[in-house]
Amino acid sequence: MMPFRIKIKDGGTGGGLAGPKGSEKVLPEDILEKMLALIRNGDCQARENLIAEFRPFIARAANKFCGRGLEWDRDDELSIGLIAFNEAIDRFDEKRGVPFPAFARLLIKSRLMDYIRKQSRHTAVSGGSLDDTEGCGLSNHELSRAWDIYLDQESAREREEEIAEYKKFIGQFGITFDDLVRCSPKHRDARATLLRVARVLAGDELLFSQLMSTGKVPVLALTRQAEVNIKIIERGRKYIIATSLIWRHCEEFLYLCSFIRLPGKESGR
Amino acid sequence: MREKAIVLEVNKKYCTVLTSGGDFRKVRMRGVFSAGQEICLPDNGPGVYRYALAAACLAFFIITAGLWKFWTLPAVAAYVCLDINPSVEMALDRDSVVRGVNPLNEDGENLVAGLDLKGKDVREAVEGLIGAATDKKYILPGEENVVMSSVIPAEDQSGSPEMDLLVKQSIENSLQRKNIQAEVVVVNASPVVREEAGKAGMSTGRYMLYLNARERGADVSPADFKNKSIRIIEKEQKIKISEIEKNTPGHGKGTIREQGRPTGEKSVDSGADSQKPASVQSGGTGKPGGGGWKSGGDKQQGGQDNSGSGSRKDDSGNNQNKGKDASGGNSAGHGDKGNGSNRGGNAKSNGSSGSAVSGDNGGTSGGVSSEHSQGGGGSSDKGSSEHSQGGGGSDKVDSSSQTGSGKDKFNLQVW
Repeated sequence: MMPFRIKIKDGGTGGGLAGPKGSEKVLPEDILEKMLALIRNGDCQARENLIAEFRPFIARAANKFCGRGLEWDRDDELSIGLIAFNEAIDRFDEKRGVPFPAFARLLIKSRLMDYIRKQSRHTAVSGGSLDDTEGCGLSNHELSRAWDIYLDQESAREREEEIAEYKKFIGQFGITFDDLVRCSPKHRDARATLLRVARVLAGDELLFSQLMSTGKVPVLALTRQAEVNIKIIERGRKYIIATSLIWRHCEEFLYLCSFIRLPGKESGR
Repeated sequence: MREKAIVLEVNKKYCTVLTSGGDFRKVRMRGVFSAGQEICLPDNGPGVYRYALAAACLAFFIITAGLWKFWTLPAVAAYVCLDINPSVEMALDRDSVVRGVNPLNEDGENLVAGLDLKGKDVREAVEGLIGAATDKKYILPGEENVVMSSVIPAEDQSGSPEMDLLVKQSIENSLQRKNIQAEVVVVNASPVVREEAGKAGMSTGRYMLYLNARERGADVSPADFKNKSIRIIEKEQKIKISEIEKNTPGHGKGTIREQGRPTGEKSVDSGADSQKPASVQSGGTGKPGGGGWKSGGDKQQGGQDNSGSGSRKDDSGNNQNKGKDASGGNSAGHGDKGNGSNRGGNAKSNGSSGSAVSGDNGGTSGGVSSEHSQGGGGSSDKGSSEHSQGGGGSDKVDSSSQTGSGKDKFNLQVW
C-alpha cells in the first residue's frame, strides 16, 4: 500500500502547474448512473459500452499503480484491471458513498496488488504475513467483511489524499480554502452562474491551457465564451479557477468531481 | 433540507466544507472530522442565529422592563408639605432625599427663591426652608407662629411614621436653632387628600384645615384658606390645628403640639404621653431645661393611646424631648427619658421639684394614670403605676426601656 500512496503524492507535486497528467473527462455522473442501471437490469450491450468507455481510465489507473507504461496486448496488469472493473460494475453499491469511478479504481488497485503479491511469491519465497492469512482459506463472509473494511479505509484515505492534493493544487494559483469560503457566492443562482463559467473554462482547451500557463483566468475570452458580465468573472475569479480545476482533472479528483453537481444541465458538455 | 458536504479542512472550531451545491463554507461542527469525509450539514445555520436573536430581544425587553420599574418606582416616595404662610411642597424619594420642590403660593415661591433644595436630605431641606422663612420674616421670634407640615405617602403605602418624625424633628430643631417658638404640627394625609387639595388649588395642609372647618359646619370657602398664614387661619376659623393632626383621616395617630417656652418654669404638661405612636413627637422647641410644656389642649383619648401600639420609634439618640412623659394630672409628669445630657439634667430638676417622672420599665409598664402620679412628689413610677412612689428624686430614667414599650395605657389629663 505504501508505494501506492507515495505514487499519488509524487504525481501531484511532480506535475507542477501542469497538474495531473490525466485530463480526460470521465463520463458525466447522470449518464453513468443510467448506464449502471441498465447493466444491472441485464443489458449486456450497455456493459460492453461502459467498459469500452472506461478503457483509458482503467489503463491510467493501472499505469499509475504499477508505475510504468503498460500496453494492452503485452501486460497482464491491464487484463486484471479489466476484470476488476467488470467486478466493480457488479459490486458497486451507491449506498457506500463512494462514486463509481473511485470504487472501480479501488478495486483495480486491490486486484493488482493481489496479482503482484502472487507474482512475488512465485519469484522470491518471501511470504509476508498478509499472504499467510490469505492462504489459509477464509470464508466468503469473512472475506467480504474484510473487503468492506478495506474499502472504507482505503476510500477514506484516498479522499484525504485527494483533498490534500487539491489544496496544494489550488495553492499553486494562490488560492486557499479560506479564500474560497470568502468569495464563494452565497446565492444559489450566482453560484450556478460561476459554476457554468468554470465548466466552460474547463471544457475549452485553449482557455484552460492559458489558465495553466499563466495562472490567470483569461477573463476577456471567457466573457465572450460564457456570455456573462466581466465583473461576475472578476469577482468570482478564485472560485472559477478552483472549480474548473476540479472538472478539468476530474479523474484526479474523483470524489470532489462526482460530488459537485452542476446545477442545470444546459452547460453539460 | 440537509445538504451534503465534503470536509476540506478541519480547524479547531470550524470545518471548511464544500457542499454538493458548490458552496465553500465554514461550518461549526461538533465531533471529530477528517478531511475528505462526507457529511450532512445540519440545517441550523440561520436557525441558530434566529433563535439567538429572539432570545437576545427577549432578554433585552425583560431587562428593560425590570430596570424601568426599578427606575420609576422610587421616584417619589412621599410628599412633604410645609405651611407657614408660604406653602411649599417637596417630593421625597425613598431615601428621604428631596427630588422636587413645588411652591404652592406666592409666598412659597418667594420662600423657595434662592434655595437649592433638590438632592438634599429632607432634614437639611426643612431646615433650609425654616431658615429662609425666618430670614424672610414669615416666622418671627416672639410671636405666635404655627408651622404646619403634612406628610403624604406617594402611594397608598402605610404612612411612614419615621418620615413624620423626621420632619417634625427637623422643623423643631431648626426653630430651636433660630430661637423661635412655634407651634409645630405634623399631620398625615392620604394621597387622595393631596390630589383633592391640588384640585382645590391649595396645599394639603390647608385643605385639611378647610375640610375640618367644613366638618364643623363653618361656612367657609377654599379661598379663605389659600393665602393666609396658618396662624391667621387658625385664629379666624378657630380651628385647633392640633385637632386636625389627631384626626388625620386614616391614621389613628395622636399628635401633640407643644409650645416650648423659653422660661424655665416647669409647667406642666399633660399632653405628653409616652405612648405616642411614632408619628407623634413632642416637639422639643423649648429649651430642655425649661421643660415647660404646655399641653395645648391635646386630649389624647385613651383609645388612641391604646391603639398606639408599640411601634414607637423614638430613638433615644436624637430626641431630646421624648414623649415619654407620663403626666400626672397635677404634677407635671415628666418622664424624661432623654438621653441628652440636658435631658438628664432636666429630669433631675424636675424630679426634685416634684415632677412625677414615670420611668417605664420595659414594655410592660402599666398605664400611668394621673391618679398615680401625684402632685408634688416626684413619683417615680417603676414599671407600673401602682408602684408609684412619692418622694422625688429617684427618677429612673431608662431610656432603653422606653423604646418599644407598647402596651402602656395612659390617661392623660389636659390642662
